[in-house]
Amino acid sequence: MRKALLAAVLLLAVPALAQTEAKPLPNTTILEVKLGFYQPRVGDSPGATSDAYVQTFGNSAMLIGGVEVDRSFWRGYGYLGMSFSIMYGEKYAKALLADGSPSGESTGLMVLPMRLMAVYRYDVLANRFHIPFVPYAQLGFVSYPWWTNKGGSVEIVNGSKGSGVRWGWGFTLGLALEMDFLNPTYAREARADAGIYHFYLFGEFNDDFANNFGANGINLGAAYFTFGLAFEF
Amino acid sequence: MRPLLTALLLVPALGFGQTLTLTVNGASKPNGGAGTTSTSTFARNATACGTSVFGSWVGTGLTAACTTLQVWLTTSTCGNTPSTTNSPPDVVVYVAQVGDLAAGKTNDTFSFGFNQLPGFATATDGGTSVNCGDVFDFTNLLCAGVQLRDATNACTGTVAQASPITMRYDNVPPDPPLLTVTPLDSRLSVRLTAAGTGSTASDIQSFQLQYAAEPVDGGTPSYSAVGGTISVNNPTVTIPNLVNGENYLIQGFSVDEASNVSGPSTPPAVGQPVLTYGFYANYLNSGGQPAGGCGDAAGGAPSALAVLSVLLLAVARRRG
Repeated sequence: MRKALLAAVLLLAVPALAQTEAKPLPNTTILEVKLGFYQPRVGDSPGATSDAYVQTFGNSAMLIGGVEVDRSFWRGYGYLGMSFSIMYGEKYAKALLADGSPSGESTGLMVLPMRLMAVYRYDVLANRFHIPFVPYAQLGFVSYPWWTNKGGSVEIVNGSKGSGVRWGWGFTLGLALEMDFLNPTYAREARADAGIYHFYLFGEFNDDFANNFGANGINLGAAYFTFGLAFEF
Repeated sequence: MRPLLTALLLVPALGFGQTLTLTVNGASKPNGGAGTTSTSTFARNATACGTSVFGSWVGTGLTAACTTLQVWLTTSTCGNTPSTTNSPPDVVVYVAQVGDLAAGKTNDTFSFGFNQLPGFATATDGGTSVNCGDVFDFTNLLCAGVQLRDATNACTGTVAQASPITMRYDNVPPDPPLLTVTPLDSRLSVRLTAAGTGSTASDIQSFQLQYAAEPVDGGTPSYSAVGGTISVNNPTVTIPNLVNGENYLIQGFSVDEASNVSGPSTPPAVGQPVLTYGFYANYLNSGGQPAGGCGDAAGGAPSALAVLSVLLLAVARRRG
């Protein structure tokens, strides 16, 4: 553990010493396409004594997919910027009868997670030492528009409509693999011809606390992984 | 050499250069189908008795005709020309003269009485004559053909034939459909399936559906139609606005391509809508609070998008 920590410190320190010799990098935009599996913490909603998500859909996460745009505004040591992402996911199952058995009609939960984040990407290793890994972190606000469906329309129970928006905060820890080393010639051509600096494959851990900062109502926060493809231009 | 070359060029022209197409106007249908035309099947029930069928032919490359162009009805296969040996004999409904074809005639119209179909003339089931209006089902063909000259100018060349049109008299009502009822919350889902065998099932074009609350005192149910004309390709109908826990009677009808309507499905299917619990109901039943953030407004998504867009714009302007 200590050796790993020492190695990490050295890894950060070496480029720091070398930064005075490096050319300033231009601000760039990163476009990401990603997929993940999301299972909200509905059971943690205030007042809930059981997890309606598990009761309805089983212990099975929903597939979500979407896009993210990052834009840097400082490249002094790494990449500091803002990001906005929007994703969509839905999960369907049979509505239940009073005895808990499945009925003949479907019910669904749809979410449209949006995140506005500050992002820091430690791309010093890749840019200065050609080590093709870019760890990064994000922190910011999340908004979760959501709606339910039963029998083809939004579910209404005793006048209460099953839709709304949940707000909160969230963070992301990720690691991107810069793909340039696979084909340096193509990478150079992409940069010269299309203005694309880098291609990445990435995986990230996200934790969103979409519960209106602890207020009443459904908790749509979740810890989930996403994976995808990104390019920087 | 030159005549040989001419002949070689002419033969393929005669062999492949002519077409003949028959069309029957669907407007002949007395009970609907106005404006449509058919080049494959024309099916009518007894409501067509006493009405006329209107049609037309269009041809190309028929200037080499050496016989009249004929349009005829047959109980058998078309062949090249009307048969004089068929029983009942073929009925010729139109003739275009050779001279007109040689002069460039490429199309014309014709008509005939629906009850001229030869199937009405004599029995098709072994001796009993069939009259228009009988509960019966038979199929005849509407044919067209003309003999063309060959390269040597002999009247032995290609016979230009039109694809025949199936002329069907069908006055047999189909079987009522089979009904599969699925109870939903305040609704019933009904799937209709064609019943019967052979042509009584295969020529069903649509369904009709009606439902009624089951009378508690055993009285006569008061049916209401639902779903309009239900396509066989999309045969599931949802009956809305019902009361959970009450019994409803459901009857279906089949409609075939000749517009015959079956009797109602008997006995009527019975369905009972039932309360179901979707995700949101399960959430509330678990003790969850109904508040959905910025209210339960359906416009939540656009509102959130707007707020985030403003935030993004603000960030962008600060940078600028």
